[in-house]
Amino acid sequence: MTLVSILGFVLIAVGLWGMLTRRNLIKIIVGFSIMDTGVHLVIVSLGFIKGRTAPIINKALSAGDAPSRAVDPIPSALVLTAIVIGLAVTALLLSFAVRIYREKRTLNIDDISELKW
Amino acid sequence: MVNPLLMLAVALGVGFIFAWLRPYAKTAAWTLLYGALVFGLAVSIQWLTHFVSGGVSTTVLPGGFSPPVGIALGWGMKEAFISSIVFLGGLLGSIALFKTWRDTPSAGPVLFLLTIAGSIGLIMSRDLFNLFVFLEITSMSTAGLLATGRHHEGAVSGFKMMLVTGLASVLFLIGTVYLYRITGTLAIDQILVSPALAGTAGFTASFLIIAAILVELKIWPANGWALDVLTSAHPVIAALISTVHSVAILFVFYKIFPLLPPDSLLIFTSAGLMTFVSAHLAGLRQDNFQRMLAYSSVGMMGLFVTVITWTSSVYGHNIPIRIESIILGGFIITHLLAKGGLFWVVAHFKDSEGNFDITRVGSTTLGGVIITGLILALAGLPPFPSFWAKWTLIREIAASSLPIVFVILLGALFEVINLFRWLGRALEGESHCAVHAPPVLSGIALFSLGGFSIGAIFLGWFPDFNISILIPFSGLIAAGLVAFLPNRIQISISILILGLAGFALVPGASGIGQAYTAIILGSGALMLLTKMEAANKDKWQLPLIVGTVLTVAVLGAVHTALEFWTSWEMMTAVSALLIVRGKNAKKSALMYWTFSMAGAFLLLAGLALAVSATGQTDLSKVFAGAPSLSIILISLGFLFKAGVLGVHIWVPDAYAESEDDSTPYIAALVSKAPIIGLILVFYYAADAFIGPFEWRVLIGWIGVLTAFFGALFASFQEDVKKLLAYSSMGQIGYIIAVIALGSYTGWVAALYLALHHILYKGLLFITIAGVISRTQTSLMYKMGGLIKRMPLSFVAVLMSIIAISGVPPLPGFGGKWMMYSAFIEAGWTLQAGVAFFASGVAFLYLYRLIHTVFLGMPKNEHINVKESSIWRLVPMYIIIAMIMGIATMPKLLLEPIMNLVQTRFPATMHWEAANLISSLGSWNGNAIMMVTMGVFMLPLILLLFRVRGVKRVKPFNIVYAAEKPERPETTHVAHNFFAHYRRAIGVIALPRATAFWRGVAEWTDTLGDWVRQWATGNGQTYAVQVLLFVSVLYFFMRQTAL
Repeated sequence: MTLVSILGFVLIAVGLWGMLTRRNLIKIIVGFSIMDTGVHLVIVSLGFIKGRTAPIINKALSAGDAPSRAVDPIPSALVLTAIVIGLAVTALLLSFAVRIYREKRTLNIDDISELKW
Repeated sequence: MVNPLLMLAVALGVGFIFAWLRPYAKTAAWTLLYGALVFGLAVSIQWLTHFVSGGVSTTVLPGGFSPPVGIALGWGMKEAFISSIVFLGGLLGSIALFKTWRDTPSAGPVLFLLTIAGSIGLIMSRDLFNLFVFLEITSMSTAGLLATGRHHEGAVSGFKMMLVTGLASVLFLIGTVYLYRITGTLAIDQILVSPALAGTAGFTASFLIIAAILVELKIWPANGWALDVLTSAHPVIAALISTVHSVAILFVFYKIFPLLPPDSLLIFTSAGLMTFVSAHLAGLRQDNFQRMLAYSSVGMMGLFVTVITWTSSVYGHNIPIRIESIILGGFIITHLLAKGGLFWVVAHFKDSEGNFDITRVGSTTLGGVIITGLILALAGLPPFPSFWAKWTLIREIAASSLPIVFVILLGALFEVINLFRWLGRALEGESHCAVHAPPVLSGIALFSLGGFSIGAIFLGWFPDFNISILIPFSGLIAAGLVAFLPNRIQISISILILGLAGFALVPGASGIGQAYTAIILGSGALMLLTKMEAANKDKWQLPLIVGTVLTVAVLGAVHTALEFWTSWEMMTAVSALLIVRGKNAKKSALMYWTFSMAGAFLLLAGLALAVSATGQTDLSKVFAGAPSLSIILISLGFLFKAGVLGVHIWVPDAYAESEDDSTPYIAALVSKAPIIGLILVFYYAADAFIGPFEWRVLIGWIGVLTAFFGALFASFQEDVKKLLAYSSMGQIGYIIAVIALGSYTGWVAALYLALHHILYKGLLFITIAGVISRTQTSLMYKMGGLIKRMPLSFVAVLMSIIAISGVPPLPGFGGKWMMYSAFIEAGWTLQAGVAFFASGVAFLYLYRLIHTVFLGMPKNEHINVKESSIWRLVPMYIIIAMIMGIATMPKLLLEPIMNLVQTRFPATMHWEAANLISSLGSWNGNAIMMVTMGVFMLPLILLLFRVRGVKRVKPFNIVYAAEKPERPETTHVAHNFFAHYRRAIGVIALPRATAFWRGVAEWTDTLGDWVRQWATGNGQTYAVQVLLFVSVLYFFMRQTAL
């Protein structure tokens, strides 16, 4: 396990802790973002191969050399999509928070639990 | 064939174009939107028919490369079926939402299309990361849909949903990249065959993915968020999430669960079962209909997970397509149309403030029919697809694991109780409003799918089912269609329907069953005559009566176990609907339904076990070879339905609260269904009752004790209908006891008593219904002295109580004589003693019946009551003539009965001229009739000569000095008539069974409340529950996998 992936898991844990212990909706969303970033680091670290270069085919890296000299490109591609999706989810969560604040004048998660049982 | 990828592309494309086009060209935008949905549905159905007719599954490569380089989309029969469901649900839902969308511009339509497109992606994709993308698309679009509502609740539940599904998608993503790391591919099919999957890392990564999907599938206890979402969403959006989106995710689960080793399947099955039972348990406590539907949706997901993992653990990868189609297909179709339909009903009937009152639904004919259909379909009753699914599922599971059967049936029992409770509320509505398209459409679709399932029988899916068993439905529908005609024409047509049904059913039946069917139909037709007397107030009563008679009758004409079970369910449902129509019958009908369904599920478990153990379908062979346990379950089911001591508490209320005109059919006919059931099971499986433990002795004791307590309870009733109800309970007790004897004399007595019970209980209820309709009360102390006003009714009651009590000369005497003979022949002397004592007690209530209603002084308000109408008197006296005829010439009836019984047991009685000779003595009905008539005539003539000296007395109430009665009627002589007996023996007549069952109900309720409180409404608690759920699941999985 590389340092990057360890850092990723630490970030996931920190984010999760934030999500579960903060009462403020914005802080919960920040926690989510931190957790998401941790996941992205883990993904990138999985594709990394020591001593190899970025999987971008140009003058420095010909298509023929790519399999032996570049890192695994798939996790990099995945992480791009995951970042976009994470961004969308964060935006949606934030828009919910705005809507809730506008109507209920509160950002405390304990105040929005009237729907239950 | 159209490329299936186009469905996805068109839905996505139209979603974008719609948002841009709408401000400029409304009509074009809407046309495009609905066009995309219709296109998707058409393409899916086209492919589905292609696959059904033998087409081969294909793989679509959207990028042009095969995995692991490109993404592969799978496209086969299952995909085409689920995608048809998705588009059908989407199309119906979008029609339901059209008005809302048109009036308030929002992103709703676009998000709706995105959800549909994402769901199609989830169905087709066979690439893990691609699945992640579609999961996120559908999560975000549904959360967005939640927020399009006007209320902030949508945003709140959307926030909770994103919190939990965000957590789930993190698990999914980590699992996916690790699986990629281990196997070098993202394609599910390649991962499945990768040897690297077997290691610990492979196991853990796969577990994370599947756990994430289980959270999305709303598995208990990680489902509080989903309940809040489904409660707060616009009902049509809730339907979309509950049906379309959830079914798509279910299909993802279906694709990926083989990633884990087969040993771990049982854990999934258990998680599914816990979800199913807990959801329906908690649903019992709901007073918000939409939240109840939310619980029901969640429960359904639990059942799906159970079914998928269980069938896989039994069949491996070769699950027979027939089993999968019937079970999963049947449940999914029902889930879409019935649950979706109910959500749509909520959407339509919500008032402007967003409150939903279910009583408004049943206030119109169409609304009543539709909600009845939707709820019965959801409850898994015939002929809806879920019924066939339930039967096949239970039969399959019974073959390997009976405990799972019981857990499923327990959950199903909670569900049907809950559904019927709401149906009862819906049907008592009075206001008027119209029903709009989607519920109507889904109702129609469901009914035609009911027809489809009938078609499936033709296709040979159920070779052990004869279409004639569904005749009661045709009868019910035919009688319903003529409900608008004048009363007498309607009744004539109904009698004709019974006749035609007899023509169709009786020739195909044989032996005791044939006689039973003919007798039930004949008595039903005779009783229908009484309804000629007055215009019909309730136009649905008559079709339901026709349905009840037919469903009871068809039980005699069945040949296979499936046919029997179908008829039984039909009978239970139709009779419950008949009872619920009574004015204050909601609670009584629910109690009837609860006990009947509990009995029906015991019967189902027993039949399923017997069918799978014997491998037979024919009822005679199934019973003959069935293991003892299944026979015991089946008998228990019948005893529940018969209302024997201990489970009798539904009897008085169901009889008393159903409409006066409906009670005769329930009391005289429906009560015979368990009798024919018991006769059939004893007929074919007598040996199962004689073993190390003599079950038949136990059943015999239950019978005589039921007879005794029935008579005792009857004596203490104030309501004449309750008195008769307890009397029926007692009579059924005798019949059960003699059936349990399993001897020639016993069975002749049983059939003879059963037939008489139909006659005299029918007669009594018809007569008493006439009295009640004239006096406007069913309380006996409010009646009295009616002998002068209703002399013909008095004679009818007198005749029937003579018939019941078993004194000569009427047929009850012969029945009792044979009964005691049978007991003594078998050495059951103690039982005979109890039965004899019960007969003595029966005199008490019979005396009270005739005394308090007809004798004494008439009440002021009854001075002018008239005799019952001729339409009531004619059937009454036809029955009396039949009773007299049988009494004079019992041989005419007994000989065929004896011939029937002789096919099972060697004869121990025979005829010598008019004498019936048994091992204990002889009985000559003819001679007894002559002697009794002679003895009766002499005093009568003497009395007629002395009648001049009679003096009239005034009404005489008993009031003690200085006594201040709380209610004036308590001073009436007929009130608490047998107070002295009650003081003496009242302690044994305490309602212990009622107290017991009330305790059971309260405990269930409390447990449901406890389960319900898991959903605290706090998003963070839900997230913690998800983490705990995943951790516990992992712990158990590791235990089984290692």
